[in-house]
Amino acid sequence: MKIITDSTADLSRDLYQKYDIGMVPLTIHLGERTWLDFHDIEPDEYYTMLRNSKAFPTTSQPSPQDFIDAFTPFTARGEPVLSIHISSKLSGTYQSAALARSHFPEARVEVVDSLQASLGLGMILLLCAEKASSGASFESVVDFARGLTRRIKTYFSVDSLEYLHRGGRIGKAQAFLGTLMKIKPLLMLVEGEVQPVEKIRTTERLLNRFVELVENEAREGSRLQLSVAESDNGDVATGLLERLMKIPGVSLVHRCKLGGVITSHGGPGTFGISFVKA
Amino acid sequence: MAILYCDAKRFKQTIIAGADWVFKNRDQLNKINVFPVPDGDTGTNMSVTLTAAIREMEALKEASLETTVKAAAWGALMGARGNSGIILSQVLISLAEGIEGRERLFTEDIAFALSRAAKKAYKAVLHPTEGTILTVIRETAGTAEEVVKTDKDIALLMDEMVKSARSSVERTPLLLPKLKEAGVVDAGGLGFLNFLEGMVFLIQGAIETSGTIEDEAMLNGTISDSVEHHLKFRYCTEFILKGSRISENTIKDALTPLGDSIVVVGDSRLARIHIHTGKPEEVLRYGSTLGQVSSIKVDDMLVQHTARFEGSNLTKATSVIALVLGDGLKELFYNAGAELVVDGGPTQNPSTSDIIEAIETVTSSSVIILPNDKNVYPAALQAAERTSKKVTVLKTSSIPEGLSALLSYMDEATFEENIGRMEQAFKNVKSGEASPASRSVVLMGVEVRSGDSIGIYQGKIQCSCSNAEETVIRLVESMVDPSDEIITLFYGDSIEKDELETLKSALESRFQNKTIELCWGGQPYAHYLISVE
Repeated sequence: MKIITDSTADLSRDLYQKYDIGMVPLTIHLGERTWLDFHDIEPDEYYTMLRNSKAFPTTSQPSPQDFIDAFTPFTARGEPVLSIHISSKLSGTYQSAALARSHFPEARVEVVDSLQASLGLGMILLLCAEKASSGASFESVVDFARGLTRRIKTYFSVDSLEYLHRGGRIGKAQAFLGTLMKIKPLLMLVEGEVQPVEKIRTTERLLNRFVELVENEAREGSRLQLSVAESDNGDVATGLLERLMKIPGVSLVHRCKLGGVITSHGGPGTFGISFVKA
Repeated sequence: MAILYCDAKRFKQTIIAGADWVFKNRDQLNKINVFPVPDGDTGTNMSVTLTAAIREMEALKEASLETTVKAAAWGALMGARGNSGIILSQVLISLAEGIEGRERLFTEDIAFALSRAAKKAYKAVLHPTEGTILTVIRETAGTAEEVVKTDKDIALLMDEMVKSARSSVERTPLLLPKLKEAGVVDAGGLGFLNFLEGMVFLIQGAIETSGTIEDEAMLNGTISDSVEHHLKFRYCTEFILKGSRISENTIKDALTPLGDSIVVVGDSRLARIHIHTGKPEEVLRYGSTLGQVSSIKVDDMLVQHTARFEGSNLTKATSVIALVLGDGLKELFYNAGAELVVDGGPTQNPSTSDIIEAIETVTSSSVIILPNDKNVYPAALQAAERTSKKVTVLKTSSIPEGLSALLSYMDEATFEENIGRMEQAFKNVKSGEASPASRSVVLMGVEVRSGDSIGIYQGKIQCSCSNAEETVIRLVESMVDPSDEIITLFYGDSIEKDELETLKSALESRFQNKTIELCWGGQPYAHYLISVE
């Protein structure tokens, strides 16, 4: 079977290679310039570009044709395709993939709305790839993927709500928008949408909350699989990760850098964690 | 010649004749439309509504009185556009009530239907205002009820109704100053009069009706849009919004893509919002981003069914009341999630009854009070004991503590969870203030001269300087620890902008790894309130 995703999974080139996961990139537009996410531009390059840009970035989803092209080599030889994508509430990517799927009425192509973005999506892909490589059937991997979409919890914070707001991805977190004092919003993905959790003023307290959230989840002695991601906020993420890894039962799935598309919507300085009970 | 009854054919012809006269006066009605908003569409709205009614009647294969009246009512309801259109549709709906099995309508039926319609119309409108079509229908209904006591002649009844409606329309400028200012009568009321006049013209033989409508252009264009449109915006949604900085125009702009008939009334703190929408949940979600949403009412205009969202997660589990002085601070507290901010602070202690009143006013039966001052705390505690609501008074003794507590309040959390979180939060913040000294004295070993600004932290005078900015710097020095991140200054009304800028840069160079934030507090007494966290 072949697993395919889009560039918002924010996996590194190495991971794509290691797990043989196919990736269809979204497009980033900043001022006059345009890049294919992770193809034409690396995250670090983009952070600098974005911090120095007066223009505001936009992104566009792959076309159905992009997905048809991605599926065809595998459907042509009868290999089943599992295509897992960024939450349909955040991007039209899933829809493009679903449209492409209808071009292969006879083939085994499953398109899954991850209800996640970035590290949460990456986590689903890596766990599914592991399962597939252990010899699980296509159907059971598909079921596993769908199950994960509802089980994974993703919490994150942004430096400024401006990016989420201007990109229209703010969801219920709009409630935090007009806050007159500077806050560090603690946000989460609920059913694929951005929701507010808490207004916090200091980084220290924010990080304490992240630790608390993971501790609470790990409390009943369950094993917890964890992923961490950041955009241009490596020190904070490293510090947080060190603390999280000390919590009994927690194991790291992966750590990644937010790519250009996700950073375009969260802004530089975004960081987050995803976790799921094993 | 007396007309003693109205059957299906007469009904249809009469409605068409009335509608026709409204169509003919459409432009005039549009022109004089100044209330509630001068959007110049009353004539069009009423025309579209009546056209929808007629189209439904004409689509009937078998036209009994029952099916005809019901078709007109259904069509008007589906096609109703604008307030005046909705009110007009109530008249036809009222006629359709109890029509089952009837073959003829008599004078009483008409009079009583009009009375019912008047009552319904008052309920249908957000803010029933006299001097509008509401008044005209109500007064006309009153006349009709009188007439039918003695007369059974529909022609005579209609004639009296027109006279009554006309006099009512003429008096609308006396009731509604906006009309008087503009030198017009109410457009909706006049439209209703036109509707009746058209009917009377038919009865008197002044016009012929062929059973069709002249205005085909409008029929083909607007009407199908309108019916579809009303299927799309079938939920009449209303709620009260409490917040700060509520801007009528912003709300209207934001809601426009979601529906129509948008009415926003109130001020920047409390507004009532009305909209016809296909997506009430989105409207309410938007509302909740602006402040506290309450008194939610969602009516399905198609099935006339009222669903209340009571007990759903749209109502908060917990209301927060804060006692605060200063416009800037009040705004900050509203903004941070307080449902009600009551005046109260060091120079102005609120009475227990003020606080009880606040407790009774807020929407939830579980209330958290932030007194934000040691002298306010006792009154808050007393108030808490004198109400049937579940009230907890947190021991916030300063504005920074109150704000900290409030920021960790969450709508979704339970009462107990919120208390726990908020108590934890306000203990994590340090507060100080720089306030004017009213007399010269040596206090706690610090020499204070009258007119000085004294710096207070942890209940002690830390310093006293001749200018407030110097006091702030020395005070903050005594407050800050290496692990602190943010220094927030809430400045009073007496502070000049230049002083602020100077102070900010002084603090920034003195505390280089800290974030310095300045917020306008507008508090009457302290020069600066300071939070360090």
